[in-house]
Amino acid sequence: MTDARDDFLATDMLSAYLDGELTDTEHAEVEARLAESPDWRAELDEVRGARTMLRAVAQRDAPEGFWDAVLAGVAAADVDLVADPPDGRGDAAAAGAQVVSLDEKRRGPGRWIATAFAAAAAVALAVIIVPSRDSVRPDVAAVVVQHGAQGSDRGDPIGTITPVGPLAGFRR
Amino acid sequence: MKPGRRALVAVIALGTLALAWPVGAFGTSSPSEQAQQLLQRTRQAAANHEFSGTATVTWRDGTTVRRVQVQVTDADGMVEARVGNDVVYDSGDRTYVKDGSRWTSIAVDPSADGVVPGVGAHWKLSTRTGPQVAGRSTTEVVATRRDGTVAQRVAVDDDTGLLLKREVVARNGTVERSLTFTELDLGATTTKVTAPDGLRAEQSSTITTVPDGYVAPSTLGAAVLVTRAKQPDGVLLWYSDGLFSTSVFEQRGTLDWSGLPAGGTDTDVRGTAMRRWTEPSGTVLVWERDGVVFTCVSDAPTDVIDAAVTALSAPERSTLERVADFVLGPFGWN
Repeated sequence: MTDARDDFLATDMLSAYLDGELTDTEHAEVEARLAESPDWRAELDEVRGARTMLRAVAQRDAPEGFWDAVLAGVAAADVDLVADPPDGRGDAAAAGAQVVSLDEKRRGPGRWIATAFAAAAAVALAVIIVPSRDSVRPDVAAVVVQHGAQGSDRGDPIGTITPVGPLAGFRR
Repeated sequence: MKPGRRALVAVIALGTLALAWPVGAFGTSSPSEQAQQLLQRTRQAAANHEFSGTATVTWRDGTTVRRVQVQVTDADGMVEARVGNDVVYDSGDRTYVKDGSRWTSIAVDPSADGVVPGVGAHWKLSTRTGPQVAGRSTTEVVATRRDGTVAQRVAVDDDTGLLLKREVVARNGTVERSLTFTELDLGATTTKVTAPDGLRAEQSSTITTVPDGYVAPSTLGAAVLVTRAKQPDGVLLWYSDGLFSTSVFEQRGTLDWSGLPAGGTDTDVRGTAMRRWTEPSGTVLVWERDGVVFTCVSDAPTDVIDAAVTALSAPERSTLERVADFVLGPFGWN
């Protein structure tokens, strides 16, 4: 039986597997696990499905100030969690008197505020961050040269390579 | 026999064959077979003959015809194309590019999954007496589309089999780009063609399946997928229809339109927004679909490449995608 950490590693490995980012050894290991384990195959289907769904989501830009507001909210909730609780018992470390149990802290209103902001951040992450992709500036000139190189190896080098010469203006 | 000696014998044999292979010596083969043999001969001739010369490369960029002179030298199995300070060296499996003072080296993995189709598989070929090019008599190979319009004309030197002229022709008969030798000196060259030493090649590795998220259709129009290669920042596919070839480079991400080179024009290819450049070596198209940025380079005529890239441009959105848009759309701000 796998624990949570194993699940995380499996997801991570499968994600890298789908991205083609594993080493040959890792790739072979994953292939072996997939061959023998229905759980891993199910996990692979799940990871692939989630990625497909996320790719289908249109990208949105957060409005100006959105992230500042979220981060400020999370910071405020965090401060509230370690500051004076509403019953006025004061900071335990500073007072050196009454130690407040972690359970009591967790039951305080700060927990709910923090949870609310964490949930908001999670939704924002799901909608905004996860679908966002790296900005790509393709090296067009390099692809043109690659094309010429590939063609010269499999065809006539004069007809294929010579026109690549007048690329000077394009590359700069 | 040592491998080096075997190779030498093979080269001598090929050279002898090329020199002793006048155009009229096709026997009873059909016009299409004669044309295919001539094209095949151009591919061997560059390896069998040393020469230096000047070629004019022209290409049509919108309504403007651009032209540049290229110094071409073929020596010791290396082809050099030089325009001012910019140089391209090619030894078949490795290409070196000097852009100003910067060198780049590209290594081509010779392994391939697919097979380059025969040139006669899609194109109707014929031969006829060609024009005089650089003072030399030629035979012209004409490739036509199924509707009978000319797609490419190639003039092959009758004596050596060298390609002396190539014209890529649009469906309306306009020459989109051409390469024409204006001077040609055969024989051993005094110019030594030497590629730089110690340059690390940008090697890509051949793969049999593309990673998840990328697409690799088995055909692009009449062109078939020949190779797939993994590169550090994406996947490179190479297609061929036997006459023209198309490279497709895919990268995951969002296309930064503002970061593309200048000089391109925005275009719409069957409903997909693309940026197009017309280069001496071919047409370049860049677009984005479903989180993948495509950079496509092809030496085919515009109508051929536009039809081919349809397989890679926007498809009908799936039910899943439409549901995702419906559910998540209200959370958007744009």
